[in-house]
Amino acid sequence: MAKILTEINCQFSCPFLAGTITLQHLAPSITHMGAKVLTNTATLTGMGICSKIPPTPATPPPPCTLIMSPVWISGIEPTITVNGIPVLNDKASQICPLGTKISCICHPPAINKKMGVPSVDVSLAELLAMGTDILTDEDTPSSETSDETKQNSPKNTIQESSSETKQESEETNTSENSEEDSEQVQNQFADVIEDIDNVNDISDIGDILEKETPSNTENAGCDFASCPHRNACEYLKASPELYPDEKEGASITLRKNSRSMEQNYLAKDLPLQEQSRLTWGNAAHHVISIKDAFGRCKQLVKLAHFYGYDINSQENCIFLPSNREQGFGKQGTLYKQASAYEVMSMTGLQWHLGHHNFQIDSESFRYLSAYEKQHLKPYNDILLENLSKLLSQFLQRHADCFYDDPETMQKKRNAEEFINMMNDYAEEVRMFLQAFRTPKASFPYFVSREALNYTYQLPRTGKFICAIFHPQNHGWKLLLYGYERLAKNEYEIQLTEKDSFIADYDFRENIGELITFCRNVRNFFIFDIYSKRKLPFQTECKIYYIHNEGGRYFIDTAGETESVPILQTNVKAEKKLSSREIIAQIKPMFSAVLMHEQESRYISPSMMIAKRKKECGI
Amino acid sequence: MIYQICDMPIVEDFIKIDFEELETISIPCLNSDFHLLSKEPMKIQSSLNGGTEFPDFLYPFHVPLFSEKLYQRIQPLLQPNIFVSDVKIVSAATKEQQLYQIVLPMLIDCVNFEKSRFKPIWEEKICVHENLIGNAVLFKLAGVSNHGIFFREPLKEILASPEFRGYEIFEV
Repeated sequence: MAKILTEINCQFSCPFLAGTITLQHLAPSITHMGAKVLTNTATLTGMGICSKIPPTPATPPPPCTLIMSPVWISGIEPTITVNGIPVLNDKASQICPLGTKISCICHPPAINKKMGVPSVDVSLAELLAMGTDILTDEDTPSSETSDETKQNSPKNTIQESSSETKQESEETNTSENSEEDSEQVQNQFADVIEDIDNVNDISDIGDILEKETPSNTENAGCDFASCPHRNACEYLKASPELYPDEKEGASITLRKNSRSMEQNYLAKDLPLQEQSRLTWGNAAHHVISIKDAFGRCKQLVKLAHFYGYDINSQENCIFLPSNREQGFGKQGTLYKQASAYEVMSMTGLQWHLGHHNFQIDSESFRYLSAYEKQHLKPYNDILLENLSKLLSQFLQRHADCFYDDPETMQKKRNAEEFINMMNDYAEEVRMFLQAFRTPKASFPYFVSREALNYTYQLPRTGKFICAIFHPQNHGWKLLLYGYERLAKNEYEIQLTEKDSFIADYDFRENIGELITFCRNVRNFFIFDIYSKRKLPFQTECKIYYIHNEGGRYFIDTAGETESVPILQTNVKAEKKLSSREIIAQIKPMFSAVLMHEQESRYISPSMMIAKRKKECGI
Repeated sequence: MIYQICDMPIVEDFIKIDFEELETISIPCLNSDFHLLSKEPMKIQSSLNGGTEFPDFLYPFHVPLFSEKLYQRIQPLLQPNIFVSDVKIVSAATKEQQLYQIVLPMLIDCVNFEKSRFKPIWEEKICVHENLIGNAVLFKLAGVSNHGIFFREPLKEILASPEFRGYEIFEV
């Protein structure tokens, strides 16, 4: 693929010229990353001595007469046009009046790889703004023409501004540039051209430019266009975009930078895993999220690059429990939630899995206060909001130019303040995250949906019924339990037996009394190895079957019987246990299942009894 | 020592009574207007929004309802100027019936406003002139927004007994 030419990635040469060939534009140009794209309206002017005509003793060597009309014999890109004017590629060449071919040598521009921005020129957004004024000048196309051009411009045609009034870009030192830099720039440029290529409407151009180039607002109110230091100002060069090495493998980098913190975390975490039936991993969590919070605040990123703030530093890290097992994602919802809840209960830290930008429908959270409903937002949105405030405060404190005067050492002082500001905020958020032992203390910072559910969605109290086969009566003994979550440990529940009832083998006799006994209970645990026993009513009831195999109890929940360690309990006993003792021992299983219970519309006992009786025809 | 007896409307297991059932007697009970109340036995139905269990004390819409069992225990201790009337409550879900008594005491103007502190209910502190209560053991307070049922020490032992359930007792 031919490379598109810009002012700084090409140089024209003539084999007979001892001098330089300069470029001039006769038409508005488009700029990308500080470099003007060459169109076929560009002209060349030679400065130097031409050796094409042999000198004679009488006449000295003639000067170059290369003042060429914009007639390019090759290198015109057939598919890409700017304002109806084709752009040039690296095959561009002209023939001088003496018949010599003036060809192009394409080379990479001087690019600061870290900054990702050439060291010259202003943004295209600025040029566009200036171009609006230029269009009203007499020597430029009239506004009518311009409008007509806009309306009639075909696909792949761009209306752009003139940059002729701008100061010419500085010479760039190309000899020091590496091949890697060249490829990077070419790739970036090709991306932009591809974007331009796909423009269907003139209004889209603004979006592209906004996306691809830093806007004036990102320069902290700096009037950089007229600033005498603009070519030397490092702030202007600082990229408002995240560097690739900041985004890619960020969690690995963060973990590397936070070895001591990881050691401290593991020292507490591993003993807990030894006590638990579960194993879990950990995640190095960016307290200030990179892409969805920090990266969205462009000006903050620019300042961070300018001041040397590292988003992957240990100060921005906290270790949180996460899954370790392979295939965890394929497990059922119940298992995933139950595992997450148990781990959060044990570690007192938020479960780190899934997006930080989960959607919150605060109305669906039954236990939220009015204040919490108003202020609960996705994790990244809160970060972004607070980062914007911090940035605004910082800019108010430093409204002056960011140009680093070596005499004042202003940058060094401000850098310290900026980095401290970011680290202090990260520390503040980390304090909230670490306070999760009392889950609501983490409000409003919840890094995962499960952490939020754990805090607000767990039913505080409830009822369930255990049905145990009673061989002496050849019937079922139903035990009604009330449960209450303990304030100290959200995962633990306290059981209270409330009532009992004897039912026949098929639940067919005394159905009315059975229904009355069941009140508005929705969860039924039936100790039945065959998983076949049905209740005489189906209204609003969920049945879990508890199996016992050699002292090992497990709950069958919609095909999730296998490989669900959290729903299995070993009951070791020397003597035969009573029903109540077994229930007391397998209490964690109930806790795990009841946590999964979805909030549903409340139905009073009387209403539920009436519904179930109606269903049974009573 | 003075105590207040409160029902437990938030416990879902207990029956609830809709306002429509008590509409005619609610205001007279609020003001202890005995002359506006009938001695005729009533039969009312519990709400479908409640539970199925019958507590020993209910105070729906300012109508103090004591279970027959509880009433029989406290009746010997009560002062004579108390309005009593039968109310039969039928459970809407189970059609089970239980007899209650409206036990409505007089309003007594005995509040010591100088020592009392009136703030939101949970911060409220009511002090009374005990000498103004006389021999009443069950009474209501006149001139305050707390329309609860208050009682004195002789009833405490019975009402605090675990034999009865479905209500709470607070020391005033």
